[in-house]
Amino acid sequence: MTLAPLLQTPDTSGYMIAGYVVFIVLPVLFIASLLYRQRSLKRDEETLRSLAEEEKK
Amino acid sequence: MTFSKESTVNTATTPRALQILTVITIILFVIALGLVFFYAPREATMGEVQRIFYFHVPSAWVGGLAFLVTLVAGVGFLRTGDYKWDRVGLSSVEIGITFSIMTLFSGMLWARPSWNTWWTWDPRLTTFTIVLLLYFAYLMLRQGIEDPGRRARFASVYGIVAFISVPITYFAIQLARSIHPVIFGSANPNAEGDSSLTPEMLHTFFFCLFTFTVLYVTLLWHRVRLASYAERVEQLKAKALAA
Repeated sequence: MTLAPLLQTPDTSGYMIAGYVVFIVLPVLFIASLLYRQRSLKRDEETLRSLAEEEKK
Repeated sequence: MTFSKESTVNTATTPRALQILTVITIILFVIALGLVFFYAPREATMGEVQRIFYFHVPSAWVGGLAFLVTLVAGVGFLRTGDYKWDRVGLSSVEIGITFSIMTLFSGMLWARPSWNTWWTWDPRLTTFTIVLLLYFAYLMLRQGIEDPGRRARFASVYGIVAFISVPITYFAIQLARSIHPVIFGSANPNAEGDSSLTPEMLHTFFFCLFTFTVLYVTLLWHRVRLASYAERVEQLKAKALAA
């Protein structure tokens, strides 16, 4: 009986890839949420400013 | 609805310094990935999954740093009443939660082949989950308070108190029996995990730690600017309602 199979490094590359997907996807989602919120705020600001303009008229 | 000071941050254009910092962060991130995959050697016992370590620990570091900044911001707000501290505290919590979730999920992916389980109620994992839940509660607390002054005060106090959970999590594996590896400063002879890193592994690790710290600063700056913008829009809404 040989111990060679026990001494081999296991193939865990699938877990590593999944890990790095997490490391890349989560910051990207966070940045996307920042951009989405910024756009929403811009829309709100434009609406409020146009309302204020209309009231002045 | 009143704010003590008008938000004066110009959100229309991104400052040059922030633009440069963002580019530097992207370059550092790409270099860090290069070091992880092409410079650091493959660990013999665990195989490729050990490479998760290079981003897993820096993510946890950024989580802790972010919550520490929230504590400092809480003290800053309570001392000065300046809402810029409140914006920093909120922004830092959001980033801290994001990086803590990264730590949690990457840890599970590392644990599966290493410990043969996705999850175990180990002291480190348990206390880390409590930290995450505490800071989710911080966001829920803020959502539940309408008045900005009260919201900022409550959030500041909560941010200070909640930070107690962070050092508890850090020291959990040194004080209690744990299967989680002690990377640095092992003081507990009962700790089952251990790590020995080659110089290449250490270079890669410290570069990633630096990169994640820069990434945190960049994200915080962007997020604080967004918070300033949100405050300005709130002020406009308040004016429109008062008119």
